[in-house]
Amino acid sequence: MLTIDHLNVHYQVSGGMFHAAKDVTLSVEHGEFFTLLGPSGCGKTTTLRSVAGLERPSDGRIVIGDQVVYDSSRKLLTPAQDRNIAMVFQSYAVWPHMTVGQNVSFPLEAARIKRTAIRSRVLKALEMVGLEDFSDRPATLLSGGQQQRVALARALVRNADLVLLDEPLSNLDAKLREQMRGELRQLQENLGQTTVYVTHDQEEALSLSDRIAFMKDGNLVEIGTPQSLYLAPRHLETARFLGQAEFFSCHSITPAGQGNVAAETDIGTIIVENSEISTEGCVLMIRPEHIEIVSAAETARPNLFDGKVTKVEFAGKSVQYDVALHTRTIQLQAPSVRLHVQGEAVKICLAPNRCVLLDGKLGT
Amino acid sequence: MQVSKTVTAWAGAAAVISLALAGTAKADALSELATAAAKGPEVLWYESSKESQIDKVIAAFNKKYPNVKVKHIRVVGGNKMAGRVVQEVQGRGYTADLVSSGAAQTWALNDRNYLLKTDWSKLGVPKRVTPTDFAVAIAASVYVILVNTKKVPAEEQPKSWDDLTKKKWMGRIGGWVRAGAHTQMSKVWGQDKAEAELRKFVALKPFLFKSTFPMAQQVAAGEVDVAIGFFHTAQPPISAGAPLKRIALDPAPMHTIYTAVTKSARNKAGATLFLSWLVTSTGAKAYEDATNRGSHLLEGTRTHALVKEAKTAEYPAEETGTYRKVAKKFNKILSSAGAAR
Amino acid sequence: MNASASVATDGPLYRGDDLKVRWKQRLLSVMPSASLGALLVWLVIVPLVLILISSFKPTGFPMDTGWTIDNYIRTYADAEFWALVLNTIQFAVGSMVVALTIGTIVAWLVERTDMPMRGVVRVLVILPMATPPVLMAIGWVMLLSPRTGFFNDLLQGLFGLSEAPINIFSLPGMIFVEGLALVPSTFLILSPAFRNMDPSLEEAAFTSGAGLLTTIRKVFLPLLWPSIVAAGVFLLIVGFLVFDIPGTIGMPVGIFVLSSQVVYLANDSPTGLPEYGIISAMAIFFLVLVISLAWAHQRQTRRQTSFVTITGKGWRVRPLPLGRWRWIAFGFICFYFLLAVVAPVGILIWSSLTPYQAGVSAEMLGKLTLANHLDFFSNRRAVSASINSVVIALVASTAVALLSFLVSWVVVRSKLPGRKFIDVLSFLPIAIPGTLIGVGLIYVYLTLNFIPIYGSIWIIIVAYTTNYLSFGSRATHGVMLQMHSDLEEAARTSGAGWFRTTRRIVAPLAFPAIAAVWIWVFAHCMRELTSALLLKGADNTTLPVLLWGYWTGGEPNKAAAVGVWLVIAMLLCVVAWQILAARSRSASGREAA
Repeated sequence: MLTIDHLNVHYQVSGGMFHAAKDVTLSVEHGEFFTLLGPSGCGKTTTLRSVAGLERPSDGRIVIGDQVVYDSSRKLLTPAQDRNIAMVFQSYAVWPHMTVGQNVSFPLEAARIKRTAIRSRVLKALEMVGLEDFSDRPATLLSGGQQQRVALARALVRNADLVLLDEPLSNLDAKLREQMRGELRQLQENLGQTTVYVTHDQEEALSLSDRIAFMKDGNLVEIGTPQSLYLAPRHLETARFLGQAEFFSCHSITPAGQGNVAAETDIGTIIVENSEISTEGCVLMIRPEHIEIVSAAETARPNLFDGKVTKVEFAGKSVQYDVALHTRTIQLQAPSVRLHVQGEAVKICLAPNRCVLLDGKLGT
Repeated sequence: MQVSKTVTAWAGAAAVISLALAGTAKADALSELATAAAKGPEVLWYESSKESQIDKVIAAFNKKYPNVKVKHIRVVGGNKMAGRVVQEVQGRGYTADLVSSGAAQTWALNDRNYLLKTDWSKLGVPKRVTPTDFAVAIAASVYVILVNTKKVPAEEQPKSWDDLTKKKWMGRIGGWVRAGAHTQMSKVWGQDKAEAELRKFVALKPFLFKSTFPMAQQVAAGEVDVAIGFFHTAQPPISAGAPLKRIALDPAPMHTIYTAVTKSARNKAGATLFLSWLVTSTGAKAYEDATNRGSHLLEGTRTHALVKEAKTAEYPAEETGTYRKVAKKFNKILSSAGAAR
Repeated sequence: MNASASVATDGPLYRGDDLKVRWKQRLLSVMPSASLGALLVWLVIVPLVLILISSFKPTGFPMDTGWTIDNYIRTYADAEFWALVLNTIQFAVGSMVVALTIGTIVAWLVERTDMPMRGVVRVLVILPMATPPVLMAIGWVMLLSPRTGFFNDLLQGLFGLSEAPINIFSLPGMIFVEGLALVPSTFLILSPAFRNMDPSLEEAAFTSGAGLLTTIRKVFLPLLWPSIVAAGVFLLIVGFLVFDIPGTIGMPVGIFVLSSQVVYLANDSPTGLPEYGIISAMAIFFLVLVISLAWAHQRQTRRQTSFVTITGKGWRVRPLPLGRWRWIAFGFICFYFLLAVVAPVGILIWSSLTPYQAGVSAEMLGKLTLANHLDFFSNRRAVSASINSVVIALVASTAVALLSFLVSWVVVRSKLPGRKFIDVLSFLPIAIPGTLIGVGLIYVYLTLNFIPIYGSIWIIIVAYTTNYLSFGSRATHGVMLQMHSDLEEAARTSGAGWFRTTRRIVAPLAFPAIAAVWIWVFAHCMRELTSALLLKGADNTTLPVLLWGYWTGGEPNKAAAVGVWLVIAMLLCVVAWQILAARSRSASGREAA
């Protein structure tokens, strides 16, 4: 549905050019909910705006459906208004001089749809976002959440092949954000529109997306499903950005049978299940919730280490512990079914199936 | 169409003028001129007086020559009018038929060879109003003392140049922001005395006005008690009943107003005819009655009566170069009046 | 039922990608900026080139022969010139500070607070703009002159003073009058900016317990910065070029400024011809000044996003309750009005009723007459002059409003190449003295006589449009900078082309500024004199030219009568405009609550 091929975007900034998107290549399937995730300044919004036709890339190729909208080799750049897209902006961009109805009907007027048809389509779109009674209200008299719905309805009413959402929830308060997130996913599933979603919020990305592209410093680092990116990232940057993690430098890696490998780290040998990586100088990653506190008698499982609890942070359904091993302290998260106290000697287990080996080197 | 008409008028005028030059009697010359003038287009006249005033002058002219049409366009006076004439000649090849302005402007235009030379004596124009063959003196702006009669009792009123530089006028006297009066006086007094007098005037911390019409009004309003102003610019408040009085100066500095026919005129005969009429006693009177600015050179005008007792002070037209130099220097002295405060 | 299916029955909005459509689109998207650029080059560059040529000509007439740099030497090597520059800077900066201070306060009170009678204030505040400045200046002399001034008499009588407490004939006097005269312009530049400011920002500031000064420094100034800078730069340049007030108030006591020198060189220099060469060389100084100010302005506003206050997050226009300050604010406004509107307009009316120039006194009461007004109405030239003036003002103000809007859009919004050039172009005319624009245009349209506008009202329209473009584009720039680009981009991603986006989204949002430009230019066209005089032909006399006729004909009272009717015309105009604006606002529901 959407193909981006070697896209490069440069900005003129004071003191030269800024390379905002570097050789970004990806494709989004029909009906997919695709998320561009990354810290601010990573190039995700630039990429989205290039798809929308709001930026002029310096080279590459963008295809929406069967419409080539940008191709540097053919010197082709379709203006935004001629692309079969709809977009929701972070700022809502609800036009303050119009009513809710006027806002939503605008895209249809621009497409020169008949007036009678417009009315029914606007009503349908407003119904979808639950604003059917607000049509004649001035847009400025709505709350933030309602304005966001207007922006959403305005995007949906076009019935475009591709819906682009640029951090649409970041201006809402936490509770509303969660609610809207659910509605958004529901709407997308009902309508089946291909959606590209930009966010810096990992939770949003994980819970909404079919697939996520992680970007950093203008580079597309990695694409994958939420599960694969979280549980088995292939890049250090991805692992660092998504969730918390403990990292261990590996001195050597040796096969350990059954497709497993044994990684030599500062805290000792760690068995990693099913790892494809066998290069030296890599990093082992594990998420805090995949480190378990086991009973002192446990000996059967792999990756057991002795330590002492140095800090306890109680967070309700889970508890965060700092555990000092003989060479370093690690953090882990355990369910609150059993509590440990500061100073207690514990034995921990690193789940081998959740240990991930990554290319790269840890900074000092 | 326009062009051919112009050419016809030109040719006709040239023929008539040459006829005139050939020594036909004055009356014949004028009537031949009138015939040719009537065939030409409207005579366009650049002059700085109000339209309603000049309307009366043209009406008086048309009483005698009903078939010669004259159109007046009020153009900002002074240098800007001359600048416009230069631009029009350069830009499109022609300008107004008649241009009325001061000596400096008229001579500057003649330096550019824009003005038509005419043998005015053949048309019966008195020699004293035609110091040269390209310009005719039609009127003069004469400097006078202006006094607010409410603020200054009769016995206090200044009667002479010496009275004007008395200390009692400190901060109560006004003048034009240009040193025209003193510049012209240097012709009579000599530059040194004129400069000394100007410096005495400056020492009185005079109020300087950018234009002399508002100055007369400000004397009427009592903003200043006395001023050196123009005879004609004081007329409107006096007519309106303001407590304002004019006192003649002796010697009386003045600026003569000239009118010239342009070489690019499209109705040369008409322009020449009108100009020669303007300095007849009827024309001069009509012009003075309308504009309050009359000719000191032609008997029967109020201006003539005003200055006939007095000596006049003005650089003759041919000394315009000297006038410019002195004026520049004097203007600078006058503009230092602020620093003296 | 599947929602997508039901919506999709109306068919996709997809318009295809064929080459023809693309080229047409591209052409359409380039057209506005290209034609705008061409028009600006024509309006601005042509007179500028003529000025440049003039400055290198021995006579100052561009079509004369010879070249010289003498004009520059005579101008810039002259110590007197720099002394004038110093005077002018004091005057210009002083009046800018006065106008900005008062203008900002008035704009804020009118646009953002619940001060009583704001609607009336909004209408009246711009009235003095229609008064020709020379009448305004003479009015102030009549009010504040130490010898005959009405206020001085009043204060002396009230407090038994032996000397007049106020002397208008001084630098502070000039600054005061010019500052007051510039308040309406400041108000018009700033009020759209205030109106467009998200009120939550100022509420947040006030409720956070920050002091007033902190709030002003941290919240207002940064938010309004583009508009304030635009206004400041504009006021500064106007202060540099304006003649009437320094000429009427400063000149009598020997305070000369650059513009006095320009007037002297153009009118009264003893050479007999205007010294356009030296004036042009001086204009180059103004141009350099303007270009550096424009450059500084551009640097200031480069980081556009920090000024964005019209966002897509809608806001309600809620006046800030002033509480007990309400009436103090109202008192301030009343005092301002007394000074800036009632006093000068009052004295104008008085002048128009007296037979000759005379201060306000019981004695003159007996002499009051309607003759001056009757004369105006019985003058057969008054009708055609009125028609000319209104046509000129209507066409020029519409042209300026339209051009300014387009210029601002190109400069602030678009990423078109050459937009900085367009920005500077639109700002340059302010540096050209009215006389020189006139001189330039005379040459252009005399030479290109296939455009037969010389001597007609159209050449005046061209002159005014050029002249006022600077103000217009500055005023619309501020609002464009405030407008979040998302609003426009949302329209484009909704499938709307440039024209529809502009017509439906950008223009309505910028409307307060566009309307302000329109009314400002209209008022100034109604009163502007310099270029109209220079470009005067047989049939293009305007009302100010008629008024000037009375003025220079020694009949200032008849001139005042014309001035009074100009103010009345302006009042009607502004009231009509306000009614229309209010109606369109309520129609769009913007202030419905």
